[in-house]
Parts: sequence; C-alpha cells; structure tokens
Amino acid sequence: MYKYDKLDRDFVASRSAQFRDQVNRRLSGELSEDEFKPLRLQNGLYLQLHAYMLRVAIPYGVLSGAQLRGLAGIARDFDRGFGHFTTRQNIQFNWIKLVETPDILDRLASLDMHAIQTSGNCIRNVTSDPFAGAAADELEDPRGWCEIIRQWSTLHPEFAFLPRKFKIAVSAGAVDRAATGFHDIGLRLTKSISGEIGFRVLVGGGQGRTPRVAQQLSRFLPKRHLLSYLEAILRVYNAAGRRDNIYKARMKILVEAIGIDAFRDAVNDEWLLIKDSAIELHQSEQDRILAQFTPPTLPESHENWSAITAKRADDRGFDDWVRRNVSPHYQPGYVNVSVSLKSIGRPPGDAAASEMEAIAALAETYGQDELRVTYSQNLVIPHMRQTDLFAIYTALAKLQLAGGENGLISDMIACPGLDYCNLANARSLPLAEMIFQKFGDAKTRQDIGPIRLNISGCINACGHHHAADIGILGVNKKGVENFQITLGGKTGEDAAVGRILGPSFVEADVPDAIARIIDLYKARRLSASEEFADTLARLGPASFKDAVYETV
Amino acid sequence: MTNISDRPNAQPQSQSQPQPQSQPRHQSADILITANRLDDGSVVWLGDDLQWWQDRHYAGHFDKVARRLALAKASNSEAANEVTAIYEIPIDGKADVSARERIRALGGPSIVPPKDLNPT
Repeated sequence: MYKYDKLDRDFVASRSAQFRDQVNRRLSGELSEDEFKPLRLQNGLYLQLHAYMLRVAIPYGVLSGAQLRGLAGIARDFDRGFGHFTTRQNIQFNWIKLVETPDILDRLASLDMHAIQTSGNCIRNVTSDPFAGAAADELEDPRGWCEIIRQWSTLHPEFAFLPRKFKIAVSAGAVDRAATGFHDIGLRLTKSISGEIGFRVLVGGGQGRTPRVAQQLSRFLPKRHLLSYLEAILRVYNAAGRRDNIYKARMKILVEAIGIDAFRDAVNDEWLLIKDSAIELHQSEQDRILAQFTPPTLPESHENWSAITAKRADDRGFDDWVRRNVSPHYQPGYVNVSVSLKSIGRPPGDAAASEMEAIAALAETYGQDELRVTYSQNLVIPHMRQTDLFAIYTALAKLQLAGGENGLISDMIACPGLDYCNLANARSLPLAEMIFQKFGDAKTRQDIGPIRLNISGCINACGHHHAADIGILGVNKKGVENFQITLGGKTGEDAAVGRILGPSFVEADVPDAIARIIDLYKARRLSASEEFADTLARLGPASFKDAVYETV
Repeated sequence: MTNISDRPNAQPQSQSQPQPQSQPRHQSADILITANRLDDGSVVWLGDDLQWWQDRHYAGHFDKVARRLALAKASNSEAANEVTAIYEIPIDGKADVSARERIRALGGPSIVPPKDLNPT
C-alpha cells in the first residue's frame, strides 16, 4: 500500500496547522460562520443533527492495521467509542467538538491520514474495488491509478470550487465492485484488442434526486493519457456545469442536457489542447507510485479444502460464513475475508473502537497488515491463508463478527438517516433493524440467497437505494416518516435505477411489505439459483406490486 | 461559554415541557429557539431565562411579544460566537413534535450504537 513520504507528511501537517488557525479565528469571531463553513467542509467537518461530524478519508478504502487502530483511538478519545463506515469507503465520527478537531487532524496526520476531499464541491476521495490487488478476477491492481488520481486531484487549484461535488471510482475486476456506473466518472480497466491495458471511461452517473447511470465517454483510453483526459472532462464540467441551481449542478445533469455525443466533442476539443502536455503524468512519477502497489510476497500455502469441508459439515455458522464471506484470491492457498458489520442490534456499517482494534489485530496476525472498507459498509482483510480460515472465523465469532451475511438481505446499506443527519426525512437505522429482525433466522436469509436491499433516509440517496434490488427511500409525508419501495436497481456492468413500486408505507408496515416481495420471489423463481433481478425481469414489477399492496 | 448551562439531570420545568401533538395549529404559534453550541456543536435551546440549555425541558415558549427579545438574544449569542445554526421551531403540534426534533431532544440516535468494550 502507499506509504507517505516527507512531502506527504509535511503537507498533511501543514494542512492541520492551517485548520487549527482557522478554528481559532472562528472561535474568536475573526471568521464568521459563512466564512468558516467552506473551510471546515474542506476538512471534512459538517454540522449535523446532534453535533459536528467529521468524515475521514480512507483513500480507495485501504487501511493498515495501525491506521484502523488509530481510528479506533479517535473514536474513543474524541467521540463516543464507535465510527460509521460509509459507501464511499470513508469513516464518520458523530460527536466531534470543533475545539478538538485540530487535535484530531494532528492525530490523523500522525497516522498518514487526513479528512481532505470528504466534503465540499471538489473532487472527492476516489473509491475502488475493496478486493483491489487481491482479487482472483482482476485485470491489474487499480490502486496505483487511484493513488495517481488522488495526488492529481488533492488541492487541484482549478477544481477546488466546482459547480458541485465530483466522484470518481476505479475498478479492474471482472465484476464491478465499485459501483462505477453511479459516479461522475467511472473508470474500468480494460484490455484492447491488441492486448494493451487502458481505461474504459464512463461519465454522468450519480444518484440523488435525479439518478442516472453513467454513459460511455471513451471505450479505451491509454493509461498515459489518464490525467490529461480527466483534466479535460473536469474543465468542460467546471465551465459548463450549472451553478444557479444546486439540484441541477452535478455533471450528470450537464451530460444529459447536452447529450453524451456533444459532451464527448467538448471534452475532445479541450483534450486536444492539453494532450501530451506537461499535464500528462511523467513516466518516472507513474513508476514511483505504481511501485508502491507491488503484490505482497506471500509464502507458498497449500490448499486444504478437505479439512475446511469437514469443518463446514460440522458447523453451520462456519459453513455459512465461508460461503458468503470468503472470496477467491489471485494466489492459490490464499483467500480474502469479509468481516460483516451487519448483525441484529448493530446499525449497518457501525463498529466500536474495541472491534476496530480486534479486526486490526486479525489483519496483523493472519494477513498482511492491510484492510479494506467496502462499498457495502463492511471490512475486508485480504491475503489470508486458506488454512487459517477456521481460526479466523473462531476469532471473529468471539467478537460476534462472524455473521455470514455478505450479499444477503441482511447486508443492507443504510445511510445514517434522521438519527444523525441534518438533511434526512426519515430514520434508516431503526428500519434496517426491523427488516433484519423480520428475516432473523440465518437459514431463511441463506435460502433467499443473494439480494441487495438499501435504505436512504432522504432523496440525496446516500444509502444508494436507487441501486438496489429492493430500495427503500424515507420521505416526509405530512410530518410523518414514510417509506417508498423501489425495485430493480443494480450496480455493475448492467447498472440500473430502481423504479418506485407504488404508494409509500409507514415504518411499521415496511418489513411486511418486504416480506411479501420476498415470498413472491421465492415462490416464483425458477430455481434456488435464479437471482431476484432475474425473477423481477421475468415476472415484471406489476406482479410484485400486486403482492405488496393486496393486503394493505 | 459561561451563560450556556448544563443541567441534564435537573427536573424539567412544567412551563417548558414539549407540547403534546394535540396542540392546535395557528399562524401566530409560540416558538422554541434552538441552535448548536459553536465550540462543541451541542444542541441547545433558549430558555425563558434567555440562557441556552442542553435539555429541551428548559426551552422557553416565546409568544409574539416575547419572541422579539428572545430572537435578539439569540442573535447576540451568535454574534458573540457562542452558538450557530439558530432556528425557530413553531409550537404547532407538528414541527415541535416531529421525529427530527424528538431525536434532537434525545441527544442521540433512536438506536443503540455498538459499545466500546475498552473505554478509557
């Protein structure tokens, strides 16, 4: 993983010192709130429902054990002992004191971390596949390119005040695990007919009140042109994106308004001006950064699936966990382990400080001192020996973190909702708990099989409800929390936006409505292996609508 | 912030209890005044005594006569860098008892976050 050098350390330290001065000036009244707000947002500090909230950047979701321990320490020393992992692979702390924020930024700087690019109308923290550099189905490790984009975009003087926030995701797996289709720019590493690896470039994706799936801007972009091409896209957006209406300011609106072909022409016109100029990444700098992502030296480890199979036969929990939470690694004898942060009684994505420390210890003991935060608000420990699986499972079980929930109905994405967020209309977290309780039996969840259920507390869609098989959107109906259900959203190559099924429900009626959807799916699927999206496509939404509303 | 009081364990005062949902709505409804404390972000309400309280039980109900003085006090507090994000909540049986305001008054979420087993 990327290691800070002196330049990086000096930069985050000076940034922290700068913010300390800004906070002091705010507290003394030298800066008004209007003057201070953009400065605190540039350092990830929001004012939320209960207090200040600090969003810390975890670039492309990659953490060392020491960094996760450090985040645990911040949760314990400056907050209420827990943190919330987000879909953009960051972590949020909910009860931050403004006066203590400079000390937190100093602590982050000591961990080679910061909170830059987690808020404001800038290029946000780049996201990626949580299995990057460890997956079996990967064309090449995308993390080096994420780091190149991070270094290019951090404090980019031209793009510090864009019309609106700007999100980039990079994926290199056969399966898109970074939701690239729902980003302003989605980059998928791909191979040309001649065998050269480059980028397929998608633009104009996003969620919120106007959800759009990204469209292809370039089928193949050679790697050497990545920065000039990104620069051209950003320049077109920065110049032509709307600044008069916050709801129409994202790049997806611009792309839709002028059309993808006109947008491509505008980008190409701009690109011709800067292509092969000094904006392009120098080969030596590219080599320097990519060299930091060389695969770890993993000792040969012989697979022993027969021993694992025997254990699985004896232990239902272990069997479920291996099936759902263990994924293939590029090197035989190794696997990647997902640690589910979804269980009854746990708000999705939340982890206590003591849990973070224990998970960090597992990565240090059994892995390569490396962890990942996932799009679905879980953690991944890559590079684990397959022969250690039962020991890892046993250790996680002691922490009550051994749920085999990955990809199941319980693996809900949920935004903080009205329990924390100033923008929310409704609470996401209690509803997630009610739905988990509704499908409280592990065998029932396994029988349903893979399905994505996401919950957003408002139309800003931080819970990615648009991109779920079953999406739930919190709305305010005459002062009462209500919830709309959408069906048919998905991420990946065939990304799609879910469609509203019908009138909204009060909170108490939502779990039963979801159960009726699931009952119909199970009754009508052609086999246990037919996934929900396929059954929905075959039957059409009307069948589900009839089932959901027949008893209401 | 010497004039912002912390009395989380004090008994609520009857005149500042949150009003029930049955309270009639009318255009000139009394208001609550709320804000966040600048230095730590804590939610506070302006009391009848024109002090800021962390417990909503001490929130003052300001009628159309009293609100001018109360809002002036709130503005002064903002100018003095004591509070930020001031807003009024109509006591109309709707806004004042909304889920948002009930959760703010709770001082935390309506769910139970995970517990740190090794607190300092």
